[in-house]
Amino acid sequence: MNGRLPFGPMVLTGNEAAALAFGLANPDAFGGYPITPSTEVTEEIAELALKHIIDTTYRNLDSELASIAFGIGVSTARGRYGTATSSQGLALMCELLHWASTARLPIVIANVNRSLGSPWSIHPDQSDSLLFRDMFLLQFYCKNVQEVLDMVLWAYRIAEGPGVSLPALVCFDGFMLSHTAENIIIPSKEKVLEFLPKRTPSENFNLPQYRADEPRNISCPTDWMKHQARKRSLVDAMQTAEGNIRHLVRREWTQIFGGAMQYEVNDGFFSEAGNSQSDTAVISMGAIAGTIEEATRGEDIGLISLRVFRPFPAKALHAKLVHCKKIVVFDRSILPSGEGIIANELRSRTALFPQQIYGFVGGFGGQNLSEKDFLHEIRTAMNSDHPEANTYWIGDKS
Amino acid sequence: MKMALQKIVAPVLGEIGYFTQAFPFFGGERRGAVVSGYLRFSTDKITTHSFITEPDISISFDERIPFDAVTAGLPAGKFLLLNTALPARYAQAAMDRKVYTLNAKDISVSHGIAKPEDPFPLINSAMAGAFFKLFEYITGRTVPDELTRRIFEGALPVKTDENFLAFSDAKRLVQPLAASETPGEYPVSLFRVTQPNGLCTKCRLCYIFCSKRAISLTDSEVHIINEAKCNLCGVCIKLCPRNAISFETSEREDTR
Repeated sequence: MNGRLPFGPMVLTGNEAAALAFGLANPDAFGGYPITPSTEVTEEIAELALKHIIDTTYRNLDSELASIAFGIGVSTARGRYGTATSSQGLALMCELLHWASTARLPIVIANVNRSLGSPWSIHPDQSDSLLFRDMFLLQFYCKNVQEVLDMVLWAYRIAEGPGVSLPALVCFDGFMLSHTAENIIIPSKEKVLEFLPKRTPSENFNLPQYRADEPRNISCPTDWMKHQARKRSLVDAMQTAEGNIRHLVRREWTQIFGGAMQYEVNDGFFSEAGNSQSDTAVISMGAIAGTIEEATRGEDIGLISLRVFRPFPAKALHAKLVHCKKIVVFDRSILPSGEGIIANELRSRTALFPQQIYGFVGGFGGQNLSEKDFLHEIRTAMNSDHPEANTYWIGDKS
Repeated sequence: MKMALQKIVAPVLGEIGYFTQAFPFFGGERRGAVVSGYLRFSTDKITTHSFITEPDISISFDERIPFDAVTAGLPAGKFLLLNTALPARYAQAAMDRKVYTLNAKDISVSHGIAKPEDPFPLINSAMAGAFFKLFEYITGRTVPDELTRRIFEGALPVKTDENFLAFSDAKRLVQPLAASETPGEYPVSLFRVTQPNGLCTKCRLCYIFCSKRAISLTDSEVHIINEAKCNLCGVCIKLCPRNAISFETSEREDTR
């Protein structure tokens, strides 16, 4: 090794932080195919590998489809794999991403959130990764550059966990995080290794040469019951992940990194700010959470920003929101039903979330979401009594 | 600009104990198009990720950017830093704002970082130097040269000395601009893309690739460039196989 990964406080962009996180996770292989705004992650990893600062084998690939195919190979052969992409690139992975999840391969993909065309846009919304919400794919979201680094490490740890063994997406907003330089603290390689040891592949999903009796993830089961058992195990894996996040992150992350990372992990699934006892809670996900925090400073509002979207932390959210009368949701996605996706997730669980749910959507095509916008919309919701199934479009002048 | 903010200014501010945030914003168009950049620094943690709409300092890296865009949202009494060879043109703007100017291209050229004929010269180090002069003036804090020098070594492994000299020169050369009501003629636009000349074959390359739809065709297939839409990205000039279009540094008496 010729150089070392940096360590301690620095000012870095989200893309640089993601690359360093991959460097710290030291995957066996990293596949690259460029797409704005995630290209720099790939470039940085390529440079770290070229300078032998990390052991990772870096490969330029033909496409995102080739990248996920490479990942399936590496991961099936017991290796750790990482890649980075955005929007159309992630969409191109769809077919093999489904294979990776049902074959139980803990690949970690950094997805820099970017609008899916049409129309063409390089600016962030979350429709690209949320398109995959019905896959057995863990999904993490970041609210600042520090979380970009942390979530990549969490993603590997949870994805590779015993009983989970599923791929994971680490999503962070294009430009708002990918191209934004902020203060972050980089943990030492030794500490990271303590939190994220070398992958121990789940024995049930190995290639024949490693365990002869049942190479389940590439064989074609002739027995429908075995096939069904595999499908059911996917649901179990998601539930196990939900349990693991609470324990691993809360205990081990805090123990290993202590106060050094300078923020509260709470119970892992989301971060909180404002007044948690308030009648009104605002839920958001990604970089806008910080803007909402700034906008509502001093207001009587509780703020929740989701770090984990899959598995959806319904129980933890219910416990946190049970006393609330109003839930205001800011989504950066839109469904054919006319709702944002987080609002839809909450409304589909009426037993857990019987509250009035106010759905706001926005931030498409490079729209700037300002503190004033958020405060205005939140106040509108607080002074209103008719959320109905209405979705409010932020900045809509009509 | 991205380089100046993210690789020089923000890391230096981080090293001297500030929470900081620096980000650019641009669209799908490429090199040559107008890019905005935002910088925050504070002794408190910065959580927000919005654009800055009421800045304390507005900086123009290039005179081709419409002056209205540079001063948009900048409250009276705040700072305006302009890269210009002709500071007198902006004297009127100094009536209600604290205007500072420097000729960043000259500084870059004098240290071999840019060539005189460059349409888009590299001026990041000089602009960062000018920023820190204002920073020192506003905060009363000085930034140690050794620290800046160390950041330069990390960020600019090529021409480190030249860039550090440009940074230091700019810090020394940036000047407050005396206010005057009389100049009365600061330019609407110093630059423009010329209409296609007689060499044009109507091949439509410029029309197809113009990201701002600033080029239109008439019935007789003549290409017309709409100055109001043009963002001076220069793609048409690069693409034109006949060199029928060019940048024009206007000496017109465009006044407001």
